[in-house]
Amino acid sequence: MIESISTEMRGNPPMIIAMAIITIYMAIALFAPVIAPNDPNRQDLRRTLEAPSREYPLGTDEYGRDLLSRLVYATRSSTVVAVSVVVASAVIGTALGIFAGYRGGFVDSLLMRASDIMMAFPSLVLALGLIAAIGPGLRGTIIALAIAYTPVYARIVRGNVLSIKEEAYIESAQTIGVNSTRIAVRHVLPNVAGPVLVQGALTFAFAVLSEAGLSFVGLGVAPPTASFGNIIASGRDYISTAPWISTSSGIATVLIVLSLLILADGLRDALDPYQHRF
Amino acid sequence: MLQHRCIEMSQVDPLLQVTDLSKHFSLRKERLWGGEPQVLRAVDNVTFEIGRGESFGLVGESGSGKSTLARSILRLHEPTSGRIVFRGTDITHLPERDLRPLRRHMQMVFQDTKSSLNPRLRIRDIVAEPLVTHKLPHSAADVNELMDKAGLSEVFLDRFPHQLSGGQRQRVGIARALALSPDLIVADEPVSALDVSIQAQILNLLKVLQSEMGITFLLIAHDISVVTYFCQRVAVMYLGQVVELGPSREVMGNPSHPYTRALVSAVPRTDPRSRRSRIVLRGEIPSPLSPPTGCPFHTRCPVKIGPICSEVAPPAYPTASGGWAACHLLAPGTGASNSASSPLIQTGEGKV
Amino acid sequence: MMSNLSPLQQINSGATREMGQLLEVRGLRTEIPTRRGVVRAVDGVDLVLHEGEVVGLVGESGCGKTLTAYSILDLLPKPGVVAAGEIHFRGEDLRRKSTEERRAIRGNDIGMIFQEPLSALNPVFTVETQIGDVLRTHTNLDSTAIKERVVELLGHVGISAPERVARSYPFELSGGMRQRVLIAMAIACRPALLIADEPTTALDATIQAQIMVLLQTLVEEDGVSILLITHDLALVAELCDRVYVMYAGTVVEMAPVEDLYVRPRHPYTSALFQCIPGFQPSDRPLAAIEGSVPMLIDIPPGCRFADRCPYVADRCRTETPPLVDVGAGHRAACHFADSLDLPGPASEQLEQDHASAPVY
Repeated sequence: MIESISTEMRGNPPMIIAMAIITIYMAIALFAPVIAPNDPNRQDLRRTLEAPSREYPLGTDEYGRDLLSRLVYATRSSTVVAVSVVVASAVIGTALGIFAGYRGGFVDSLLMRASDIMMAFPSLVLALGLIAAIGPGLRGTIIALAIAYTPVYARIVRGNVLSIKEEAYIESAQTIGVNSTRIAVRHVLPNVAGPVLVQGALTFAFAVLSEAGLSFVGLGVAPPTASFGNIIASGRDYISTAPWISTSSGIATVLIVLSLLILADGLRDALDPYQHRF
Repeated sequence: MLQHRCIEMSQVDPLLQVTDLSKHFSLRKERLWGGEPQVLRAVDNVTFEIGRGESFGLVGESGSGKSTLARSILRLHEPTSGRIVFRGTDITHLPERDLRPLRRHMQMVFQDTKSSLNPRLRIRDIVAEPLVTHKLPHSAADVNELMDKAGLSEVFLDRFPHQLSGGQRQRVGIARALALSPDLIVADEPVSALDVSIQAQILNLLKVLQSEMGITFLLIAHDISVVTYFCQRVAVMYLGQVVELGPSREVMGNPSHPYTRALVSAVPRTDPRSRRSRIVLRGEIPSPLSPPTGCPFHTRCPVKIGPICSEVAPPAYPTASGGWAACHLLAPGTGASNSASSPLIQTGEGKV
Repeated sequence: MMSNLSPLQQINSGATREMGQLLEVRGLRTEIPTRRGVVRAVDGVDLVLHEGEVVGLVGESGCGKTLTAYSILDLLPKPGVVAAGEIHFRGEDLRRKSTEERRAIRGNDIGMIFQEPLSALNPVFTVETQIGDVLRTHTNLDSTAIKERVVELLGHVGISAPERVARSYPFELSGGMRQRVLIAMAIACRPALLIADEPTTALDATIQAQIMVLLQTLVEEDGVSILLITHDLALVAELCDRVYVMYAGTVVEMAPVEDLYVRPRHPYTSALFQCIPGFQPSDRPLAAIEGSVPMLIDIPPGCRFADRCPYVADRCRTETPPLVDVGAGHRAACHFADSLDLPGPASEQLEQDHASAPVY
C-alpha cells in the first residue's frame, strides 16, 4: 500500500505539494508554543487593529492580540478537532461497517437504516443539532462531528465487505478453519484499509471546514481560544478597515482543506485496485 | 417417483461417503412485496463414495452443480438434505466448532488464483496461515519445505500474490492446502485459468502429490481431458444430478448416457485428419429453477424414447464400463441396453 | 444444407472473386511503452490470409496474438502503438488510410467477435438496437428494412425465435445466445473477413460445439474468411486450414494444419501439443514446458524459446533463427527445424493411443 502511494506521488506533483502543506500544518499544530512568537491571548488595547508590521507580521486584532500567534494556535485547535473526529469516526464506522457487512441479516438492516436516517441530514446540520444536545465547546464539537461522519465510514466499509466476502480467499480461510473474528480482522480489515484511508483524508478536510463553520457561529471552539472560525468571525466587523484578520485565517483554512482534498484524490488513484499500470 | 440411488463400486476403505445429498437455494422473486419464493435445485440427490488415495472427478457444464456439490461437502454451504460422512464422522450438520478440527483433513484448491489469495498478505503468511490457525508448532524450515513440495523457490516468500504469475500463485494455493497434510483435497477447476504449458506443470505436480503423499483428490473440471488424465473414476453431472459414474477412461471412451456421449463428442480433437460429425445438442441447459420432470436431460436428448423420459426419473443401470448411468435406454428390453441389467435400487453401501 | 442458399451466399456468389490475398500483414511491430521500458509485444509478424480461408493464430497468453489482431483492427488499447509494418486489406495499406476510412472498413468489410460476449454488448440496449446500429452506420437501409434484416441475421446464426431475441436485452440471454448475437452483429454488413478472438473459450463444451458448427457454416455457405485467435489447439485442428504459432511476440511456425499436427518443426509447437492431457495414458507425466515466457523488454539476440527448449544449443543463444521454408507452405524459426524429429498429436507414434479413443 505504501509502495503504491509513493509511486503515485512520484507522478503527481500537486500531491507532493499538498503533502508538504499538510506536514507543515501538523508541525505547526504540534509545536505551537515554540513557533508562536507571542502569547495568543495577551491583549494590548493600545495597539488594536494594527496593520502587518515587523513586530506583528500579520498585524493585530481588535484586542491588540498578535494575529500570527492566534493563527498558530487556531491551527492547533483545528487539528485537534479534525484528528479526533477522523480517528473516532473511522474506528467506530469501520467496526460497525465490518460487523454489519459480515453478519448481514437483521443487524445489518438495523445499522444501515440508522445510518440512512443520519445521512438524510447534511452533516453540518446534524452536527448543529447534536451540539445543541451535547453543549458547545471543543468537546461538543468533536463528539458531534464524530457522530455525524461515522455513518459514511460504516456505509463505505459495509459495501466493501460485501464484495470482499465473496472473494475466494475468504472461502479459502473458511476451509482452513479460521474463525470468523479472525477472518474479519486478518482478511477483511486490511482490504478495506484503502477506502477508509481515502475517506479519512476527506473527513479531515470536512472536519476542518465544519469546525471553522461551527466556531464562526459561536458553537465550536469558544473564545478566547483561537480557531480559524472565530478569528474570521471577529474580523468580520473590521473587514474594510482591517481586512488581514479575516483574510489570513480564511486563506489558511482554504489551503489546508484544498491540500487534504488533493491528497484524498491522489490516495484514491493510488489505491484503486482496478487501475492498470504499465 | 423412483428413488434415485446409485450403485457404488466396492470400496474397501471409503474416505468420503455422500448419500442423497441435495442443496437447494431459495430465491425470492424480484418483486417489491409478495411473490412466491423460488427454489433453485443446485444439487439434487447425489450419492457417491471416494476411497482413500483415490482421485475422483466431477465433470459437468456450468450450472450442473459440481461446484455447489464440492462446497457442500466442505460445508461452505449448508446441505439441504442427505448425509456426508468424512473419515467415519457424519459431518452433515456438525456445528462449525466441532467441524473445525476436521477441516484440517479436507482442504481446497481454487480456480481463480487471483482472488483466492489475500492480496494484502505476503506469500509466507499465506502458506503458514493454516499452521497458525490450528496452533501447530512450525518453523521457517517447515514453510520452506511446503514451498519446495509445491515446486516454488523460497525467494517468493516475501512477495505479494500480485507479483507472481498465475501458475506460481496456483502453486502457493497448493502449498497452503498441503500445510495441514490433509487426507482429501478438493480441487475446483485448478488448471482451467492457466495456459496449457502451465496447466501441464500443475497437473504433474498434483499427480506427484497424489502418488507420493497418498492424498485423495476430488477434482472438479469442465475439461474432460483433464479429468480423464487425472482421475480414476468420474461422475458426470447434469442439472444437479449425477447422470453417469464409472472408471474415467471407460466412461469417456465408451459413454453410456446420451449426455455423456454428447459431451465427449463436443470436445474438439487435436487431430485435423479426424474432423468428424459431432453430436450437437440443440438448446441450452434448462434453468435449475424449474428443472424438467422425469429425466433432466430429456429436453435436449437426441435419443429420447418417449413419454417415459419426461415422466419417470430413470434409475441407475449398470453399464459396460463397470459403472452406472441413469437412462431409460439402458433398461432391459429396450435393445440398446447391456446384456443382463436390471435397475439396481439399493443404498450406497451396497456392492455390485 | 446446400440446397437452400442463404441470403449471404447469394450475394457473395454473385460477385466474382479469385482466391486472392485478402489480408497481408508485413513486419508488424506493436509496442507498449511502460515504466520499465518499451515492450515489443508484437515483433515483426508476417501473416497472409486468402479469400475463403480459416487461419488460426495460436499461442499462450502474452504471446502477442490478441495484440496482433487489435493492431490489424486499429483497436489497440492505450498506450500501445503500431510502431512499424504494413497491413494490406484487399491490396490497400490500412495504415495509410485515415481514421475515418479505417472505421468504415471495420464493421463493414472486417467483422469482429470477442471472447466475452456479455461485456461486448451494451447492457442498456436491445439486441435489435445494437445490430441495427451497425446497419445504420454502414448502410442506407430505412428502419423497416433494418428491422427485417436484424431478424433475418438472427435466424441466420441459428437463433430459433429471432423476433423474440431481437427485442431482448443482453442479460436476458444465455452465454451461447449472446455469442450468436455477436456473430450476427459481426456479419451484419456481409464482411469478407471475420476476426474471432477466443470465440468459444467462455462457453460450455456443448455450446462451444454449436458455435463451431455455426462458424463452419459461415465459411462454407457464405464464403467468409476467418482469422481465429485462440490458445486451444484442438479448436484449431477442427476449424482451420492454416496455422500461425506465436511465441513471445514472433511467429515461430506457420503451416497447413495437417502438416503442423503430423510433424511440427518447432520445439515450442511440439511442446505445446504434448502439454495437452488429451486421451493420453494417465500413468506418464505430461510433458510440461518448464519456465515461463521471457519479458519482452531489451530482448537479447538468439531464439526466444532457448531458455525453455530441450534441444537448445550454443548457437540458439547468439543467433536469431529466421523463419525458413521447411516444406510446402510450412515455415519454422528454428536452427534445427530440418534435423529434429518432433512428435505431433497426429504423428504415427501416437496413432495407437488414438485408436483406443472414442469414435462416433
